[in-house]
Amino acid sequence: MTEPATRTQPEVNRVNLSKKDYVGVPSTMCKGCGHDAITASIIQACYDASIDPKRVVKLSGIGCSSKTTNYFMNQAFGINGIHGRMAAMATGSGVANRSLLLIGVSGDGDTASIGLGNFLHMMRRNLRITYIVENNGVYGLTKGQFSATADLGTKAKKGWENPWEAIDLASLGVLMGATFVARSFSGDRKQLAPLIEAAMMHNGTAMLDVLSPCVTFNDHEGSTKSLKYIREHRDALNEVGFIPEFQPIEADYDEGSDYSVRMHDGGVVTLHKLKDHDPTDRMQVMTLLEQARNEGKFLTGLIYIDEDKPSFAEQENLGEEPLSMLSDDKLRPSHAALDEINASLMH
Amino acid sequence: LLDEKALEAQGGKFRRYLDIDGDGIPQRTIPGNEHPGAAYFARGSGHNEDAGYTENSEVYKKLLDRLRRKYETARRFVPKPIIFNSTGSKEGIISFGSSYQPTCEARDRLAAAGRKADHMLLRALPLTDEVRGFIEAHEVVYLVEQNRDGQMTQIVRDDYPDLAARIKPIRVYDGMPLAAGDLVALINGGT
Repeated sequence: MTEPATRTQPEVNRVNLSKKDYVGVPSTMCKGCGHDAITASIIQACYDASIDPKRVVKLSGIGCSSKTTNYFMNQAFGINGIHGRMAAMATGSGVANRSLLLIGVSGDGDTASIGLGNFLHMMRRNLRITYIVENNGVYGLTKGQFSATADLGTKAKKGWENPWEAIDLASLGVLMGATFVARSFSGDRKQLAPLIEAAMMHNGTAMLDVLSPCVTFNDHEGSTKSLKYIREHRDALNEVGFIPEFQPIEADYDEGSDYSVRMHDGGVVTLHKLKDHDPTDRMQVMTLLEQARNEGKFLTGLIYIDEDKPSFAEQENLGEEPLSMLSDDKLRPSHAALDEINASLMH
Repeated sequence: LLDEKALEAQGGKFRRYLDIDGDGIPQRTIPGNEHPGAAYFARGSGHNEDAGYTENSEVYKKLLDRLRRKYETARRFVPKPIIFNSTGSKEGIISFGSSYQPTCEARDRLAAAGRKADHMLLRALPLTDEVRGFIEAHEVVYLVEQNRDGQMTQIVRDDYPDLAARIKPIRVYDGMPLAAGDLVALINGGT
């Protein structure tokens, strides 16, 4: 009699979940879509960081990218908002319950066109959120029109050339006050997954501009957001690692050596620097981004970080107890309490 | 609204858009609820009663019918109108929003000149039974609004077609804050 095959138990993380527990419904993206690769990196990062899906809210706007929140973490709440307004919903969610982990997924249309106003003010406020822009330079869901991040001179599938300057979301994020700005590429999970993991541990707005080729409408010769073009023009600032255990910062800050940043919620981002780059020097970062833009390159890696700026919740002095969980007696002060407040306003 | 305990008490399951008691309002959970059965995806596309994606036309119609029931249920819960100092007059005035204060003053001025009118402050849509009751109790009801096309008048007439003739729109839409004098002139002018 043959022995029954030994069933291998799936590997589980610190919250006793396997990687399979982080997936969502099957994707309906085009085969080879960059967005699916980003979803895979999100799943990897959440699994590695032992995120509890029940403590997560997934937010998105409208577009191919915004559909992807359905494709990971089925056990987490999620919402598609109206086009370009994910940031507003996220801010409301973060105020209502500051203890939840917000993961926002948007696209270059949703963020840099219709949602630009929302985006700018979110970057200013330092709400705690991991904000991922899946950037392919086109409006994919509506069949390939240039988006606001389409580079000057890039060509559409039928040959039209884009005459307008591109919005660089990483530069804009730094300029407007985001405290964690990174850029990566959907095809580089080794870089992207630790960046996402670090972003989730950051106590503020973590904006990730992720280049994600649209295989259907923007992956042709002449496009500056094609797979080939991105691979040839990527320029990594650093190699990124993330150590989830809570450790003190020890590394020296010398060129060529590792640079470590301790994240607010635990863990350490390690950066092996490939260029002369101080991720805490905003002036230098803006210069590097502009130089790269002039050279037609995409700087990738952790571009900027500031772990000291107070988060939106801290700035607004929100109590520790989530507002949405307050009991009626706390929400409705007594008449005596109201009299006291009114009396204080009379002087 | 289901918390963890309530959700567990019904077997840990709920269907987000299912109308279980006919009032059009389904059960819901909110983020922060840690029960494994609590989470759902509020999608931007058409959805079924389980919050799943669908483009099925029968499901869509069923959903719209439920929303109609919900609208009717809302009549029971929205703020009721406030009726001021019923004078027994055959004339009434309906105001809402910022037209309330000028209407109070206009009413005082009309009364000082010997023309009494009752006043109802409308506070919510959908309209509640008290609105019908007020219109039924008066032969003429002036409805004050700062809208060129008299949209609130249209809404009230649509809800109460049998009383439509009693409602006279008082439309002031010159872009300025509503003045009591304008209302008095318009009411006296027989608009």
